[in-house]
Amino acid sequence: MTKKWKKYLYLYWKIQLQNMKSLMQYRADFLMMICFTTFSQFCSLAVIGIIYSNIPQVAGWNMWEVLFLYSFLLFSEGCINFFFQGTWKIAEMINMAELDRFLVRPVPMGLQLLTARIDFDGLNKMVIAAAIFLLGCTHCSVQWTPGKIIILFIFLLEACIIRTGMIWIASCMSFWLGGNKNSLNFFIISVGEIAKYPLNIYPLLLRGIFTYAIPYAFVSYYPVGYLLEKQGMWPGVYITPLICVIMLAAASYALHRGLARYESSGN
Amino acid sequence: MKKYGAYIRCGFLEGCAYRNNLITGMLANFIQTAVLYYVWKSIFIYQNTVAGYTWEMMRRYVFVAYLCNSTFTFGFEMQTAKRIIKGDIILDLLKPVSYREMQFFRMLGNAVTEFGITFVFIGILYLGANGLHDLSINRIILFLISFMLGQVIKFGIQYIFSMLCFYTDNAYGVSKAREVLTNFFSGAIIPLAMFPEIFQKAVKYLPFQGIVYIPCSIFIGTFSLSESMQKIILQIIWTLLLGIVGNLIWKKASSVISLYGG
Amino acid sequence: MAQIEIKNLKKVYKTAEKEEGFMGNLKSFIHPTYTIKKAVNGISFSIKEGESVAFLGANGAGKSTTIKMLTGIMKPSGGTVYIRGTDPFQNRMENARQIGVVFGQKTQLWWDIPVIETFRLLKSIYEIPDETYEKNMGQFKEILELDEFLHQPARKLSLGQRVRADMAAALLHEPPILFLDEPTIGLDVAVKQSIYQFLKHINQEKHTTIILTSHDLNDLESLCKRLIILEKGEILFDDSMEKIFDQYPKGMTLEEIVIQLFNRRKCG
Repeated sequence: MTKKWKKYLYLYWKIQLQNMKSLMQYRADFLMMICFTTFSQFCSLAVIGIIYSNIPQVAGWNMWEVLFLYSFLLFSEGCINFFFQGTWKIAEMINMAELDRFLVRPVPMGLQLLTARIDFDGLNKMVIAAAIFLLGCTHCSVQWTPGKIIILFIFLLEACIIRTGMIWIASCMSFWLGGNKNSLNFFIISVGEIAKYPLNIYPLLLRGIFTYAIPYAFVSYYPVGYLLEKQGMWPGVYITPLICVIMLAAASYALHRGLARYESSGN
Repeated sequence: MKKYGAYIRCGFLEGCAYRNNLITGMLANFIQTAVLYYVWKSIFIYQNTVAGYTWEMMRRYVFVAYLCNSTFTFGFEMQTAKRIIKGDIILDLLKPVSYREMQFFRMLGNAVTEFGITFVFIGILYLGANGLHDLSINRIILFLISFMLGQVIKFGIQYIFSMLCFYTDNAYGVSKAREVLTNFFSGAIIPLAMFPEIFQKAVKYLPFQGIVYIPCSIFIGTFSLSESMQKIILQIIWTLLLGIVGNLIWKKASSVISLYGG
Repeated sequence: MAQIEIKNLKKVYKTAEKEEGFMGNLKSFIHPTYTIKKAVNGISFSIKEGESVAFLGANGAGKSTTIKMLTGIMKPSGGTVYIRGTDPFQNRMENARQIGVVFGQKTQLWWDIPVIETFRLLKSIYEIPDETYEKNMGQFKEILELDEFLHQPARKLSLGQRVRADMAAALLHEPPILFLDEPTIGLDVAVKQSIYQFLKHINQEKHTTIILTSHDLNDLESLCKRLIILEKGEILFDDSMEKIFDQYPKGMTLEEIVIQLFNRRKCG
C-alpha cells in the first residue's frame, strides 16, 4: 500500500518536473503573467484600502483582519495554481477528446489530471499572499503559538482540498454537458469573490448558498474567523474536515461516473 | 450592411447554442454585484455619506454599474485565442470583411439575449429598490447615448487585449488581466470619486472611465447636464482613439499569424 | 488462452437533436429529444497470441469505437470484453500495462518537452527496467530513425516523425498487444513503408499481437493475416486474408473486393 503511494508521489514529482521544463518554452508568457498577477493583486488591495479609508470596520472586521482573510484565500489559490492546476484542464481535455492518452496509461486518472499542467503564476501568488499575510498579522491581535501555526497549515490544506474539489466537480460536468458548453468552472472561480469579505455581511440566502451548496464559507470565513478568535466560528471549523471528505468523495464519484459516459468524440 | 446583419444573426445563434455559458456568466456577474451591494450596505451602516455618496445613490450606482459592465464581455480574448491556436483565424482573414467589424457584430448578436435579460432583471430590481422618482427623460437619453459609447469603448479595449493572444498562449491570463483592469479603473467596483487624489488624476487620462463611471454618474445625477455633455464628447474621442490604436496593433499582430499557419 | 475475447459487444450513442431557429432552440432546451445511434451492434470475435488483425470499414462503421472499447477508453453499452482475461474498462490500469496504443490522429507525446524526455517519463510510468529500456531504445532508434529529432519537442515534429515517435512510445514497455487506429493517415509512401516494415518485424520477432485499422488496403494485405470487415456496427467478414480472395474472381485486388462488398451491402 505505502509502496504504491510512494510510486504515485514519485510520478507526481517526475511529471511536474517535465511540466516545469515545458513552461520554460514560454518565457514571455511567464513574465507577462507575473506582471498581470502582481497588478491584479494591487488592484484588489486598493479596493480594500479605499473601502477602509472611510470607515474603521465592516461587520466587526477591521482592515487588517480582512487583509488576513484575503491573504489566506490568495495563498490557497496560489497553492492550487502551482500544485493542482491540471484540474483546470479537465474540461478542455474532455472537449478535445484528449483524455484518450491518459486512459491508456497505467497511472490513476486523478494523478494524471492533477499533473496535466503547472502554473508558475501560483508561486507569485503565494509570495504576494505571504507578504500581505505578514502585514495583516502584525496588526492583528493574534497570539501565535506553535499549535496555532500547525492549525493554520491544516486550514490551508483544507482550503486547497475544498477549492480544488469544487473546480474538479465543475469541470467534470463537461462529461454530461458535452462540447465546450461547460463554463461552470469559470463560474465557481468568479463567485469566489464572495469569500474575500466576511460572510456575515451577506443576507441569509447567500450565506446558505455559500455554506451548503458552494462551500466557500469553509475556505476562508470559518478558518480565518477561528484564528482571529471571532464569535461562533468553531462549529464551522469542526465541520470543515467532513466537508473535505465529502468533496473528495464527490470528486472521485463525478470522475468515475463521467468516465463511464466518456465518448471520446472530437475527432 | 447586409453582411453585418448576417454576423449579428450568427452571433445570436451562437449565444443560443452556448446558453449554459450565458446563464452561468450572468449568474456569476450577478453574484459579484450582490457581493458589492452588501459590502456597501454594511459600510453605510457606519456613516451616512462616503465621499459625497449617500446609500440611496450608491445603491443606484451599483445597479447601473452592473448593467454597464456585465454585458458584451464574455470570453472575447478566449475566443480569439482559440481561433488562433486552431488556425481558424486564417479563414477569418480570407473573408472580404474587416476582421474587427466582423467580431464587433458577432459580439453584438451574442450580447442581445444577455443584454435583454439583464436589462429587464436590473430594471425590476432597480424599480423595486428605488421607485420611479429622480428619473428624468433628459438624463435617460443622455445615459443611453453614454452607455452605448461605453460599450464601444469596452469593445475597443477588448479588441486590443485580444491581440496579445497572438503573442502568448495564456489567453485566460490576458482576459483576466483585462477584466481586473477594466473593473478597477472603470469605476465598476468603486466610484472613481472615492479614489485617492493621485489615482483620480491618473484615471482622467485613461479610457476606462467611459465604460461605467461616466454613464453611471450621468444616470444618478452626480454630473450636471453640461458636464454630462462634456463627458460624452470625451467618450467619443476615446472611441476614435481606441479605433486607431486597434488598427495599428492589428497590422503588427496579423503579421505574426503566418507563424501559426501550419 | 485467447488474447482478446469479445462477446456481443455493443455501443450506443445518445445525441441531443437540434432544431432550427430560436423557437427550436428554446424547445430543445426545455424538452430535449434524443436520437439513438448504434455504433457497434453486437459483435463477437476472439484473437489469439501473435495474430495480426486488420479492421476494415467505411467511415462510421464502428472501427474506432471498437478499438476504444478494447483499450478501456470507453465503457461498452453491452456485451463483454476480455483482454488477456481482464476487463479493460473495469481494470483500466491493469489493462494499460499490457497494451500499447497508437492513434494516428492524436499524439501521446508530451507536447512541449523533447521526445527523449517523454520516453524517460514513460520509463518511470511503466516501471521499465533499465536494461529493457536501453535495449528497446537502441533498437527503435535504429529502425525508426529517431535520432534526428529525439531532442526536439513534439510540437515541432513533422507528422511522419511524430508517428514514428508515437510508435516507439507505445512499444517501449513491450506490450503483448498493440492497437493502432489509422496509424498511417496522411503519411507519405516512404514513411508508410517503413512503419509497416517495423510492425511486421515486431509481430514476427516478439510475437506481439497487432490490431490495426487503416484505409491503406494494399499495405494491410502484406502485414495482416486476418481481416475483419465492419459495416454499420456489424461484422461483415471475419476470416483469414487468403479466404477473401478465394471468394472472388482471380486478379481482383483487395480494394476492388472491399468496394464490391460495401456496394452489395448498400443495395441488399
